[in-house]
Amino acid sequence: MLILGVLLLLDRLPRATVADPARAVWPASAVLPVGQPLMFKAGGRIPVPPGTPVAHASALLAMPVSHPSELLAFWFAGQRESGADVQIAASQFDRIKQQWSAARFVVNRHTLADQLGFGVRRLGNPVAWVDGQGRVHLFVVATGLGGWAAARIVHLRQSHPAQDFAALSFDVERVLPLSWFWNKSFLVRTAPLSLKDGGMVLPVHFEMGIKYPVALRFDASGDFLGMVRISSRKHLLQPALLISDESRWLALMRDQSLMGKVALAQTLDGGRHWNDLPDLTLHNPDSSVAALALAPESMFLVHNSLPKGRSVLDLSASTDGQNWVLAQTLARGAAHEEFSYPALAWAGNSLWASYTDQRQAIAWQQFSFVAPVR
Amino acid sequence: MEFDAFSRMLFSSTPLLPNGTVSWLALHLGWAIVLGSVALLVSSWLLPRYRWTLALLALVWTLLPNASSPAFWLGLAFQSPSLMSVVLCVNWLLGYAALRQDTSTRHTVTDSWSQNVLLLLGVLLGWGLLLDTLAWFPVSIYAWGFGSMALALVLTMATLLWLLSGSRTAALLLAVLAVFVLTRAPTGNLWDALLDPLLWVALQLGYLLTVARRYWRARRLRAATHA
Repeated sequence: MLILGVLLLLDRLPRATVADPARAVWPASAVLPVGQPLMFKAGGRIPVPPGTPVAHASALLAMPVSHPSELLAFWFAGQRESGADVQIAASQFDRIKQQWSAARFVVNRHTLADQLGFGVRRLGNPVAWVDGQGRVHLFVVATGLGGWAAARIVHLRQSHPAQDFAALSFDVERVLPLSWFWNKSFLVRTAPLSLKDGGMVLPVHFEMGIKYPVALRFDASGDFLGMVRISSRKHLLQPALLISDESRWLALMRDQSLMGKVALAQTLDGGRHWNDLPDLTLHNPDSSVAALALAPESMFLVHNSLPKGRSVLDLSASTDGQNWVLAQTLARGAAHEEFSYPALAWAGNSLWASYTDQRQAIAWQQFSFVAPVR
Repeated sequence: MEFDAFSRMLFSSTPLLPNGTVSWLALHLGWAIVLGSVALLVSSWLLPRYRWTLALLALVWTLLPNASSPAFWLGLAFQSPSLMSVVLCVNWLLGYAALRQDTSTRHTVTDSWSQNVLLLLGVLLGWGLLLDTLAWFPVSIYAWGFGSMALALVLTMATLLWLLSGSRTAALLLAVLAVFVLTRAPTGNLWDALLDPLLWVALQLGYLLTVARRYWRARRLRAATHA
């Protein structure tokens, strides 16, 4: 009995007290004019590292105003998707120069494996977040034995607090422990939801045979606090989180079923419990979506809007997250062309979108609510 | 069904995850002990002196850093072994060494009830966790493994089992729990410390072998009685 008591005490003492209920925050501190049309400001392709014909799955990260970068973009690039040479590339949008820097690689599987102590076969989707101390965290898909379905999520943290993009490097924090089955088949793709306490909720999904979405909570330092399943349906993945109010959030999800629509789930208690809602009327041709609520009643969604194929990529707007209207068409191509895997961010009073352009490059567009001065 | 009160009770604390050094040690030391035991087990045709040398070589090889170590490749596929697998291997190694020292008596493994209870619980836990991975249940069993409540329940059960049976298996379970509380190895989740999929498969094979052996013994006995 003494052993029991001592072990229970040793377990309980180092644990932090229960985290407060999660409260989300909108990224746009200023009140945005609801219903104001978006104005295209700038766009193009982010420079890619030389000798990398494939680029896919970008993530955008808005940096604090004191940082020389307005935005950081991360994506995976190499000779081919799932290639042995695929690395995580990054570029910064310089706040003063107002242009993207040359891209550089910031994570490769060999250094990752060295730090983890075990092998990593391939790298995939990156997702970025900046913590309360201004350190960038990267969550990267890393496969073991068996392709994407055997993937794990590796959590990396910025090595040095330096703000110089050329010095941006990462150290492995850990592989996130998410399943008992050799921790296989959890992937990350969509952006985290920021919380009032400085922490965040990271949406991830399981995809071995079935697909289901999960929300992970982290504190202000990036320490893992727990996990909750978002949907009871088994064909939904890559949840994109939207704030409706600080405790009511929506998850818009990719639907793998035939002729799918954008799937929807909601939580009313800051992510403790989720329940499925009827699908949106928007088509989802088994493709990833990006969602961002800038302010109350100001929500945006980037999605492939045709029932089949990824040749059209639209930016839609909504006040409630359930009824969407087209705001802009970001890309439209021939039937075989692909514009996919979008990301959204709010930085420098602009809405930024990035997406995979033909799996060869990462395209970006910047929108403003105020007409640009001519 | 409302699980709020129940989940609040289970999630009354934040997870504690191991740091990088502990994770590295859990991976390398864990596989070193497991592979050392396997080397000893499969080399029964060798002289004892060579068997120990082989086991030691396997152990040292696995402790090497990076891709030169089997742990690098085993970790790629299976991550770290559970603490239970490691403790069972240590226990087996110690038992084997003791047996070699004391050749005058022949040790036999007794099929104690507490061992059977733990075997059954291990098999059931594995099925529960596998089905949980496939999202069969409305709540996540795996997530409970990060909280204090799951640890308190398993600790209480192990202590009671040990007090009632005094068995070595229950003591081993307590040892696993103690190492877990002190190190959080291998992942910070209690279920990963108690059971890994390979051990779970081994438990089931062991259980099936026991059942088959009993069946054949009973059949032989029946045949002998009839004759």
